[in-house]
Amino acid sequence: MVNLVTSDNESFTVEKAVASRSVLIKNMLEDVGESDQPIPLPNVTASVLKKVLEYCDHHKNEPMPTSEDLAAEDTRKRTTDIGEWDQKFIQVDQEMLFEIILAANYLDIKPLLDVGCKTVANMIKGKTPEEIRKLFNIVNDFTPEEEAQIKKENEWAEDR
Amino acid sequence: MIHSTKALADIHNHVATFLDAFQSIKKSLNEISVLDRCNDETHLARSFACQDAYIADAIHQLEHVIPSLTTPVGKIWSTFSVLGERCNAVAPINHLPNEILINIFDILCTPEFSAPTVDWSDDRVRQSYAISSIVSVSGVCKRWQKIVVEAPSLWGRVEIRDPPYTVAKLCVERSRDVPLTVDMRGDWDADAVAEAFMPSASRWKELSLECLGSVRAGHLISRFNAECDRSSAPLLRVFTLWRESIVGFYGDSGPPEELTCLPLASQLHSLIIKSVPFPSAASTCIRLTNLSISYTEIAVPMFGSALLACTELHTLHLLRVRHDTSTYTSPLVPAILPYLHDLKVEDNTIKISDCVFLRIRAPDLHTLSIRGSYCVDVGTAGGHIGGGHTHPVAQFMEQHTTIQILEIPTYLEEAVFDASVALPDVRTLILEDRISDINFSRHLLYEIPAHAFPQLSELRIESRDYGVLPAIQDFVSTRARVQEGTAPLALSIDCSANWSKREDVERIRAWLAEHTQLKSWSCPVWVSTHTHPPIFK
Repeated sequence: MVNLVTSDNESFTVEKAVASRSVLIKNMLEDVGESDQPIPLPNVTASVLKKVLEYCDHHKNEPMPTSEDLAAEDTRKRTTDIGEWDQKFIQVDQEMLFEIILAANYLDIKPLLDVGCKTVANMIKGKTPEEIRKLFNIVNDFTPEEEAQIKKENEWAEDR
Repeated sequence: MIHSTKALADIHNHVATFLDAFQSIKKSLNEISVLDRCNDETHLARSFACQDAYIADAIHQLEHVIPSLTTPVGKIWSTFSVLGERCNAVAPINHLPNEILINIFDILCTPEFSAPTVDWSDDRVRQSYAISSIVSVSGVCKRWQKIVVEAPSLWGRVEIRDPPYTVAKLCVERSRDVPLTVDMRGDWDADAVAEAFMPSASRWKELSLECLGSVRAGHLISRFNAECDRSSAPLLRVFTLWRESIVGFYGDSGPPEELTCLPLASQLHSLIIKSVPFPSAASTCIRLTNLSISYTEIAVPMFGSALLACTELHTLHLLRVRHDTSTYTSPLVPAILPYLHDLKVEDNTIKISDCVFLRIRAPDLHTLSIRGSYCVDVGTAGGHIGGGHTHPVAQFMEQHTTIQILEIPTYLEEAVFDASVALPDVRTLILEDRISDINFSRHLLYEIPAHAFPQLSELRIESRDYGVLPAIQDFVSTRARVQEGTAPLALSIDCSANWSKREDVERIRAWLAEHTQLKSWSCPVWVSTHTHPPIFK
């Protein structure tokens, strides 16, 4: 078993196979060898780690992506489908979604990072800039001149 | 916080300037309205004179004030912009670092994600660009715009659609030194296109040219041959050249010039050509893993040389390939293709098919797909290898028992049928009926021995005759009885264009749904008022 400690000081004891879905933790475990020492995760809160571990537990028996898979980055991105379980798993509020993505990036869990990024891409797909702003609570910070310039640069896309 | 307070104070000062200016104008306008109410006739003339003077004064003040407002308005917008940037910095999505946002935008750029649509609303075909999504994204806020413009990887897909090829030029420019995927579709001006993307040849990674106009395609090939040499495209991995021809193989303009330059790219892994002459230089592309040739003519010896040279082939697809009229025949030396996984042969001339089935030895072949009438025709070269007189496909199957996916027509020469049903590892069987014949009541499925295909888990049927349905029913029930305990077959049926009785079809569908995993059912029933096909009698 592996003991993980979050930024808000909560401890999680999980199977090694679950924790090792994270390349960061896997490498740490390999470096320190057999040890009871807890692994601090200063960039992850308890609520986010709980979700991440739920993902890792569900996928613990799947083969880890090999270096060849990662090298075939293009192919990985082209497969835009998200599995059924992953789709349900990632149905969380926006704040949690971005926290999961950040945690997946920090913990180096590529498949989870992919699921998160594809989910955000799906949310953006087919929307106008104004709709995207509204969706993500972003304000228009362009001056009228800048906006006119962008519009001019992208005129070709206007009638598409 | 200090910055925001100062920005708000600046806005306050600018608004105060506005108010002063407007107060002054308001005062002038008030004076005018007071004079306007004057109705004393004796003072009328004087009143008009006064009014004119005040109006002139008001205009003078406006002329003075309006230009002076431009600067504060600009400053207010700039301040709003700065405040907006600060607000955006705390938006949850903007907690994501640039590299993750680039990753998300990169997904948006994939053609599958952007789902290009064809717009037929005017006379020309217009397709959306895969990068349209990132154009939307770049208009969201300053941070996103900067990320999009400064990430060359997002612009690595050069799509050439309609003149004046602005997008293509923009992508070539913004992608900087990133390897490019060039995707050209439509009826384009060869010279303008060549100028837009030919200078980036050293960065081409994938080049896909699909063109509607035969003459223009020919012209572009000529330019390629003239301007690109062996070293022009050192990164090129995938080359697709589709030339659309409605009349014959090469269209009414005849075959274009043979492409002599691009296949020489040392790293070429995939070559897909349609309606252009087979490049003789292809036999120098020894790294090819994917070769797909369609609607073209090829000299059998040249094809044989390519098979002997390209030993790393994983997939080989040949559709409507015919041999040229040369009488030269080369010795049938076997071509050993140790990595060949997927072989698809459809409607080629007999000499080409013979060359494939008599020469290729693929010890790990996984998928064999044969369409057309070749399996009932007798190969002209049969017997040169192996010494027998059986059909080349039968010989081939006997030598390739690793096949797991088998696609065959339902009209088969007897030896081919026997060799097919003897394949021990077939998991997926795909049967294609091309001929609609309601009198053909003994479907191939009836003939397959009950113990054949012991590993079979999936059956896909493509037919033009509803007569196939009872045959499937019989096949399924016989297997269930003889091969007891095996999982139900996954079944896909695509049956079309035949009159039938709706209730018969629905009855069989219900039976199949109960006894198989019915994955796909596409059988639109045209209700017949006449005699039903004999199969349902």
